[in-house]
Amino acid sequence: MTMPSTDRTRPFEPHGLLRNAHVQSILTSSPWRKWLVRRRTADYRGRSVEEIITTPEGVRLQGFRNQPLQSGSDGLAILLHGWEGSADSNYLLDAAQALDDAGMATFRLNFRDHGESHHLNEDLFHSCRLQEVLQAVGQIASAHQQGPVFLVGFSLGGNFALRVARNAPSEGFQLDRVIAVSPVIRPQNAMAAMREGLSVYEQYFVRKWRRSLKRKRTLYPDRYQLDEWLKHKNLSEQTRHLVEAYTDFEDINSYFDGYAIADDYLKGLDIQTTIITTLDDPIIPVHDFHQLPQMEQLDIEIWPHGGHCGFIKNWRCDSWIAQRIVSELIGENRGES
Amino acid sequence: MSEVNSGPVQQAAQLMSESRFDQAEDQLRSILAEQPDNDAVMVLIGLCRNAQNDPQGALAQFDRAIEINPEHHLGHYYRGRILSNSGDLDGARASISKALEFNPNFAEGLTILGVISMQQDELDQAATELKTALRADENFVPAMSALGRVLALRGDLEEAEKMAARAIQLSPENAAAQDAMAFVFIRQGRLDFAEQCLRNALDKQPDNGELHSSLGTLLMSRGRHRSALPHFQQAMTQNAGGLKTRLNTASSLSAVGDQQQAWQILEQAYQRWPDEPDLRLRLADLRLLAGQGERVPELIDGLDPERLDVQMIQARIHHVQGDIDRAMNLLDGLMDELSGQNPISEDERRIRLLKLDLAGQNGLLEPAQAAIEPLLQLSPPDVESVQAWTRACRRLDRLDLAIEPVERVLKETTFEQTTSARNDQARLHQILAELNHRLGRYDDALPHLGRSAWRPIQIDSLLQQQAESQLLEQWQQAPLDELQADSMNPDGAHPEVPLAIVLGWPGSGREAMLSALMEATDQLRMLEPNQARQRREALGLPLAPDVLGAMSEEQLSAIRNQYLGGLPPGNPGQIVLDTAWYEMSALPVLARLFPGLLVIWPEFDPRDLELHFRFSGFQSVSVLSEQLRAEQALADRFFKALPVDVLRIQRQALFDAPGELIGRLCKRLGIEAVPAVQARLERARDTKGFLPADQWKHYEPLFESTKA
Repeated sequence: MTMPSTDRTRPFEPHGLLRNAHVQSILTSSPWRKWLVRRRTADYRGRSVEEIITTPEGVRLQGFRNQPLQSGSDGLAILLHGWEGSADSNYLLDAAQALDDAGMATFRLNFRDHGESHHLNEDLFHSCRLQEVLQAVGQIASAHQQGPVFLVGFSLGGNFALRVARNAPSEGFQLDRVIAVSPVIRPQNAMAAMREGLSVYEQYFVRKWRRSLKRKRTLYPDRYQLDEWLKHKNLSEQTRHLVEAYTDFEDINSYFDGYAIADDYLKGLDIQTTIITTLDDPIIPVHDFHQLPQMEQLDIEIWPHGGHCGFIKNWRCDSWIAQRIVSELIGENRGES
Repeated sequence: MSEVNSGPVQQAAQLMSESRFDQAEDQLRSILAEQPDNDAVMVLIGLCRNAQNDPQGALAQFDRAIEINPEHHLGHYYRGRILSNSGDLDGARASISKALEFNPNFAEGLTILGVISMQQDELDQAATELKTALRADENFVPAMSALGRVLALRGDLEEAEKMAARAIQLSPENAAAQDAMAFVFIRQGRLDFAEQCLRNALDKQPDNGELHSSLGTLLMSRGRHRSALPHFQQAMTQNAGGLKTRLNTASSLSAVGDQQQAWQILEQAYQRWPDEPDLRLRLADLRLLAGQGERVPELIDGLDPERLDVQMIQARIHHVQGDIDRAMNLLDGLMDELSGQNPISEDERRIRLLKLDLAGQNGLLEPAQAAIEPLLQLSPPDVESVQAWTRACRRLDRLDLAIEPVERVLKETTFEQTTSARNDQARLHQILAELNHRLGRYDDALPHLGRSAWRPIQIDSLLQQQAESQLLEQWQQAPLDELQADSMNPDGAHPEVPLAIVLGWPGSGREAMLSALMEATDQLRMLEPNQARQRREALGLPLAPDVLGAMSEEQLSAIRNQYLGGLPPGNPGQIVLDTAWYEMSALPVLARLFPGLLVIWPEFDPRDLELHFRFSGFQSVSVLSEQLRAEQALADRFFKALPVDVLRIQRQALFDAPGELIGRLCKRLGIEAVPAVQARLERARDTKGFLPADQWKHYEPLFESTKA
């Protein structure tokens, strides 16, 4: 494990209120930032080309590909959003825009039932659906012959990125570098942190999940009767209900174990991987990272501030993490160590 | 109100619920013979009449019931429904209101009132009536669905979605609720979701023509014309959607290049709706395109001569009559009336584009420039104008003038994330790639070639079928011994019919050769392309090796006869040319049925075709390339092992020695190489975007990962 010490970028040192973890975590998905991000990414989003990736099992995942306007790199960065986020989430767009500015091709993948993709598959999303993400990333990566391929994930997307990194070689493809920002490590702990912390986080996810599943019900009314599920007011009960009703997992703990990056899961990882997280993340407890194995292929940077997927530098909502990712990957792309 | 709960009436109701309306009516009439004043039975007979497409008979029954019992609210209600369906909305409102006088909490009646108000564009009133219906019955799904539509029309999209979603939640089987949800999603711009809802609705009611019409319209609006057409066809079969469906069908047919069928559809529609101005104008457009300018004046005769569309058609009539000056003067006059408006109006834009088109067709550079200039000066210029200018520049042989506006529209336009906008963007890249290539500016063309994909290849569905059935792999491994000539047709069961096919993918030169052979139609027995689907069905394509291997001679004989069903008359021994496109995995069955089959095979370097795909704007080039190479490998195997006679055509021969090529081709087909055939070949070669061999070398970075 490494503490922050990098010469590729300035350290993350926010001032004033921005040192507060909750300000960082809430601001990152706030309407104010959304307005700013949408304004500065208008051209980038306008140049995005939608692609539907179909896996061998017939799962269809939506993504958006961008070729940079000016070449600066021959690499491709695949970006994964967090739970109930999307390819258009603020943090994802900011990172993608920064990579695009630096001349790198980007592909923003929507998980099943995220963004506007509920119509593509009848079965519901859950976090143990690694295979389809693995296969989709594999397809995108394998088709990119002209340069290195990087994978960047945020929050649950970071969790997926780590699992994809671990399993990519056995799936028959390689990634050149993986970055996981504020990744979920032990889902039980994240759930507990939300339950015990400020209610705003849990309510945020409850609201977004309800909206998402209502849409799923509208599109597949014969399949989903969610009246009972909608009565649940917290994530634990909602998750338990869905696990029991719509998955083959024995119980909620088996389900959580199914996507935990716990114990020696990452042992055998042979893709250079960096985890970037914070001491004050209100959703992912820092001790989860302390329990990860120490390995040459795994760098873990834990910054004192930044909250959950925050890393916002100023009130213009400029993103430190976006620049950090660029410096990491562009340096990699140029063969720097 | 009369009693209806007696046994015979219940039996009739049961028959009605089973859609056995004729039997139900017989039963009800026998009851009525005994109880001539039974108003309830009269209403039921009215419903049976209506279900048997006799709305007038139904009305008569409802009127009688009301006469006997003026307070029969269902009689008034159903009367209103009939009037509403016939377009008499005021009459319908009066009848439904009467029903509500006698049953104020009648949710069905309140709902129909709301729907009538919506149709009359009285949205606030509609919302009030539908909310009243829901107060009468809070779970009444039709009212919720209708209210969802009304709220969407009023712009309250969030509430509209909630309302329609609630309707679906309460009644997942209800197709109308799904249809309403689709309507809301369309208003929200969530077209994928709307499509899913319409497909859900069609799952419930697969024969509902209105739903087919709605789905077709949605697909058409997304530029998916080929997918839209079967739904329009279904809608027309069900006699749904009226004139609008015919017009949309014609639009989609035009968009896929089938002007002929579009024209036929509108000619048929014209017989039914001869007075519809929009139809007459569209038909005039198609008759002009079909070279039937002399039949256009009758269409615009009687239309408002001041209407802009009419005057624009008039200008085109002058043009086809050879009076270009008169056409231009008419358009100039129209433009003078409109010019000076800021921003440029849509009408002025259309006139300018027509003037540009006519000037381009007549080689008039300056009038063409004058017409388009104000449109090109807009920031950004609109895509359609720039595309029209590019077409004119091609006709005027001034490609150099086309590039700058296309570059500017790409640079200055913020394209939305809709399929249509992305296609526009890719088409512009495609145009820039082609223009720069034709001007020899290969470095400038290169970046656009990587972003030019906007449409599926014409043979996309057949390729997908071949890929999904994994036939290339199966045929690559299948034993071919049984298909050798000496093991076939041992008893001479089939009379000899020499058959020829032209294999090869778009861009291989196949189209140019077939086009040339059309000049020799009178010398050949041709199996026409428009019967291709029937022939494919006859052959049982896609056909796996084990299925073909297990076929008896009798089965093969039956297939052969069915395949040749549309064969035009000719001399025995005269070669039959099948002009349909066949994937490589179709070759074994053709070879088995027609030993000695002549296969005309345009040879290619896959990279030349990949480049053609990019210049043509085809999507998924890497997937196409993979399948192309697999087909090429299979061709090598088939040509060695199957009883086929292969005539190989070298790509460059189309440019370097077209005369010699035509000579060889015609000799093998047993026809005379008349000069028109060679001329047609050269013309087709030049107009179908056919590229000489090795052009891909100008774009090596695109091919670094692939080999010949």
